[in-house]
Amino acid sequence: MILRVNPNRMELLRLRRRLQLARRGHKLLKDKQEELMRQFMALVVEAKRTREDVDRELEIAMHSFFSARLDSFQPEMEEALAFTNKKIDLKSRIEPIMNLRVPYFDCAVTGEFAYGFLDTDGDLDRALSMLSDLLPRMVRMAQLEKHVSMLAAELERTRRRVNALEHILIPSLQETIKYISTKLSELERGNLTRLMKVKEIVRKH
Amino acid sequence: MDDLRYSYAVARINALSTKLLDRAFASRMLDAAEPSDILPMLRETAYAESLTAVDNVSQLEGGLIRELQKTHDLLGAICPDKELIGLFRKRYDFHNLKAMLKSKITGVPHADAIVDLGTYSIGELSSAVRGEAYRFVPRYISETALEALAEYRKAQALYVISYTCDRSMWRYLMQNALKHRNKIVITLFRDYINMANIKAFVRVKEFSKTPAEAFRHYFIPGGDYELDFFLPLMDEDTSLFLSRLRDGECERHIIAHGFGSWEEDESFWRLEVARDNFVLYSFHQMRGQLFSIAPLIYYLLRKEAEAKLIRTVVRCKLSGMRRAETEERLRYLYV
Repeated sequence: MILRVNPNRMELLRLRRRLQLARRGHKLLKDKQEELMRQFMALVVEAKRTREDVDRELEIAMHSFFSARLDSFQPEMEEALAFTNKKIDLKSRIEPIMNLRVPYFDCAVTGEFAYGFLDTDGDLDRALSMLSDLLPRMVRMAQLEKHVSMLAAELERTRRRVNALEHILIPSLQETIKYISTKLSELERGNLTRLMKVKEIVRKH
Repeated sequence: MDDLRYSYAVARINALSTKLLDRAFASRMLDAAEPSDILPMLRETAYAESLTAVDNVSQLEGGLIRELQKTHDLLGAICPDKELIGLFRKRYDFHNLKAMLKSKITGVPHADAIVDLGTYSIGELSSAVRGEAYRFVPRYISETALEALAEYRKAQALYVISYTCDRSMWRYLMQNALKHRNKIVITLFRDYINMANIKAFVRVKEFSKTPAEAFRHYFIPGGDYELDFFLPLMDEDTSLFLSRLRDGECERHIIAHGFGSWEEDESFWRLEVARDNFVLYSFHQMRGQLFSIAPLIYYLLRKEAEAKLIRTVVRCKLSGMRRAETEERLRYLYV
């Protein structure tokens, strides 16, 4: 598609500069896309592995928890779990990956459960100990999945930009440059012909 | 020695025992397609009155508590040794005290953790704990509360309140059982303490970073095994400890049933089932004693086992557990 510009030399120079810039931008974006893809693939593998691990352990923990509360007296279970000085310290920070600002979380669990052993089952210990260990990993899993989703969006955006440059802007600029060059050459030829004609008329007289 | 005072109470309990849930009813519950189908079945039994306010299975716990309350009230009314049968309700006083003390410290409301089955008024206990005014509450509560708070102030850990109250409860129950010189109750409490200690031993070994120190806290005196029996075994493998238990008396053998599959899945629920089975079996043998407290305790244990049966079946149905797996978790009287 030819851009709607005046076919003059100044415009030609401007378009050539734009084409040069577009090619440089395309190369940079292509590099960024490759690097994003590399990081994305590594993150996807890690996120998948983490989710599988967390799902597997969560299933065991929930099974133990189910066993513990199966025939337990509800107020005793409430007494065991409602009052606790366990605290979850969650800190977040933003760091850049390939110019993308992604969140990072640090999760620390402190304190102890407050239940005694008389009214509770050992399966509850196992379930709660596994869930306590799992919580920081679940936060990390959420962080990884957020990174994957942000990288995927950025990758999509970059791919669209690369495609726009590669298939629309650069060909348009090239076509327009070609059109202006042709037009200018034609004008040049017209002028030359006119001059030659004028020269011939002058010589006849 | 026969205690003729029990003849009326035992006769009445024997008459009521015919209404207890049995194996056939448990099988009907297990066959139910939906958990909600269990409610109409229960309404055909002695639970009808307790379940009048229950519209769906999520409210079932309230109905079960009301039924237990009725059972305790009945036993309290007909038992000639009111103080002795009342000991079985005391554990709820200690439970409520524990919940209220923790609630006061953490600021978390205690409404869902309180159970109205104890002997002491919840309102009075609550205001005593809130105002730290223990002058007018029974001595066993005030002493326990003050001891638990003192221990908490030293350690600044909430679980201290749990084990201080638990230890204090068993001390109180054993002292009173000994005071009444009732062999049946003394043996039952001793068995409970033994099993609580064994369970605590395995749990600290499996989950505590400092098992010996933790076990010193959780150990309840008054059972057949002293602290010295457990501490040297602390560094040994759990299965080795369990094999030692297997070599012992009949009671130890039955506890070992609870750990029969320990090596396979390291699950604790079998111990709970084995403990209940052992106690139920012991009292099932004594249910024919016409002049002792044993049939009354057996009735109470059966009612508690029924509550566990109903909870287990409903929860297993809600989670879609297979019948065979559910049956494994039921007490022996129902499968």
